[in-house]
Amino acid sequence: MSNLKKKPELEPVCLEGHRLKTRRDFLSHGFISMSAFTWMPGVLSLISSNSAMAQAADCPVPAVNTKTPVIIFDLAGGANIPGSNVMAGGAGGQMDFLTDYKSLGLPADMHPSRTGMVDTSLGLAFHSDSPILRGIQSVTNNTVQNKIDGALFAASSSDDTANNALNPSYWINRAGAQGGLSQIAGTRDSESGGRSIAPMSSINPSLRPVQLNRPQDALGLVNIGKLGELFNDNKAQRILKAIERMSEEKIMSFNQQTLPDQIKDLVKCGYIGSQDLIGRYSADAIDASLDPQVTQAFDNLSNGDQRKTATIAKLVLDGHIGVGVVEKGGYDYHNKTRRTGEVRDFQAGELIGRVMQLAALKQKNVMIYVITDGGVVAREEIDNTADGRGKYVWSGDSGQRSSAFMLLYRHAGRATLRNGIRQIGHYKASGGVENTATPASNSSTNLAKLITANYLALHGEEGMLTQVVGDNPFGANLNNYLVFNKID
Amino acid sequence: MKTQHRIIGVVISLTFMLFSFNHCVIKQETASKSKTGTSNSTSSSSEPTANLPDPIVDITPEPEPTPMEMPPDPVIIQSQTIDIGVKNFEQINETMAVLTGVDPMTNAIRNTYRDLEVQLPTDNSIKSFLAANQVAITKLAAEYCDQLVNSGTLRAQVWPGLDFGRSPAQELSNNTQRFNIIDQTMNRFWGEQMGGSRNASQLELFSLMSDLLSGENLNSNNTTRTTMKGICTATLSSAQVILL
Repeated sequence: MSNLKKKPELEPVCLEGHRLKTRRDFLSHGFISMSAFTWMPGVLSLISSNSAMAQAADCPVPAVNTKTPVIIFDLAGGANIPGSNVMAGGAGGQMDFLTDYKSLGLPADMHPSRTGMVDTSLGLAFHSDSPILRGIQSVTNNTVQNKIDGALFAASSSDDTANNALNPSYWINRAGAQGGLSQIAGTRDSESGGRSIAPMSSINPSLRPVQLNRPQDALGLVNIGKLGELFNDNKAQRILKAIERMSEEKIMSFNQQTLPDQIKDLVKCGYIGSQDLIGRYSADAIDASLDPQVTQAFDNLSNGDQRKTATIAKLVLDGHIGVGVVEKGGYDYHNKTRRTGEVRDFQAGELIGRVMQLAALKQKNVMIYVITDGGVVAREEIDNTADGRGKYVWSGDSGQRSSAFMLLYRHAGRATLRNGIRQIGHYKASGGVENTATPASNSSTNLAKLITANYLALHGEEGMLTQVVGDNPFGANLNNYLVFNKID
Repeated sequence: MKTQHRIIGVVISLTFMLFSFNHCVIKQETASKSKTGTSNSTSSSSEPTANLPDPIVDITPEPEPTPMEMPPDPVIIQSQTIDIGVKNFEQINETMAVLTGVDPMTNAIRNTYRDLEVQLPTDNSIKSFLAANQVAITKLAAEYCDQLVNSGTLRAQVWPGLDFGRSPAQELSNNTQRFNIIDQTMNRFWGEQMGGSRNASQLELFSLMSDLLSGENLNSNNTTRTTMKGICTATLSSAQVILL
């Protein structure tokens, strides 16, 4: 206590009007980690020789996300992103047009240099007939569109394989996108929540994504089913408490070699957390179908894609989940037509647009990151069907024509560019990615790190890249690869 | 004397704790000395909050940014080698079916299992055991226990001496009756050889039974059934059943 008197920065700060009542209150103020860990075991050991029960695990305290929510769209199969969707250029950037875009699906009369062939209504330049752009525009108004901007990341990836380590969800969670209900959620039962894997060094098994495909899945996380029919809330919680205590006895009975302390803590937190899950959330708080803003932005929750996207988007935008991953299948669409790809891309654009619209309704920022495993190449054969729109057919896989892009909706107004560029890396005259342009051009893992760096930069924390991902493969050039200035 | 010393120690300790819980916090000294935790309640922003009175008299013109708090390093968890696993969703369902004797194809069980399948553990890695997994395990156990207690044939195999047609006042009125029921439950679901933690679990279940009976109609056989469903659920969804 004497130190408190000497150092003004250590003066106690009394919180006016805030009484500490719950375990969570004490945890959040550090009292349990201080007093409970140092005193409670000692006190209990005086009462009883069995101190095992007193050694509480240092479990994460559930909190509502206060940083930019993130939703990753994983277009499974290898979609087209550069050229026919997001405008792709040479070393000079998006508007440094390539000689031709044939392999990227555009016939000469749709070359971006021709009048009206580029659309910058979202800040990030798209081809004006981009199906992803059309999809976004079909469900958002001008006010929303004027608050969106983004960036294209020229990066190759392998075709038709889940082994591209493109998914940065664990690192983005580590960078601050955290949630009270779950840290990460995905529509697929996998370690990344989607098809493409997360970089191995990023995976924290204790943060494995929960799988959510419909509002009932979210409800299932917090309701207690039959137990709720049989008992009132207090008695149901009492049963969970008994489970926790008896399980802790079992867990503590293993020696350090069999079950290390750190893993014991993880498991104990699973039991403790189950009581938090049950007690903290009402159905109204997490059921997407009961949220009028969700049903305004997503007009058909009986549609599977809308349903799963709405479920994830609501929980992410409301801060209950840090990072959401929405996998959409059907993007290995090189079936010698153009119409299949156009329709699928439009559907992806619609889903992205609906998330943006929901963010606007909820007055939240949101970062959308779109990844795909591999890419497609076109051949000079026009698909003149209504949906083919007079463009070249997609004829084969081409991971060298892959890419990823991000969009940022900032509710207070479009984010400002850091370096005046919206394309990181560039493309060769052939339409392929220049694999030597940046450390991320030919490395999925580095691309995931770069996206994490860009997320950190949104909050002015890019200097923490090494702490979050383990290294900085971009060195002193990192700033050149960051797109936006700090947004809040 | 020894007991008196213990009581004095407890009183002193509790007094100190009550004194320390005075709704005051210690302002973090510097960024480097702050604890790295898991909450995101502090952001990196160093900008003052507009339009709000600042209760802290801050004498430093440029407050240093609070470090970002982040989850534990994944490499540390990945590097741990362990010999213990957790049952996956199929194994949990099969285990509960065998222990209770309830047919897993019963409509209520099948529907619950189908709804919970994505929420139950997907593999045997205990490192990825989540709170969501335990919620699902508890719900599935509750369905099995509901079916078990509602079946005269099945419940007689687990609790042969307990008459579910009688009230708690008749069947669960004294410690001998209660411990007997608890022993039968543990023997059935956990086995008879459990080591040192058995006594603690017995006491926990005894305490749970008392809490579940508290405030209920002790003259109703419905209370007997409901209470036993709770005891069954707690026992069936504990780590003793779920771990490999």
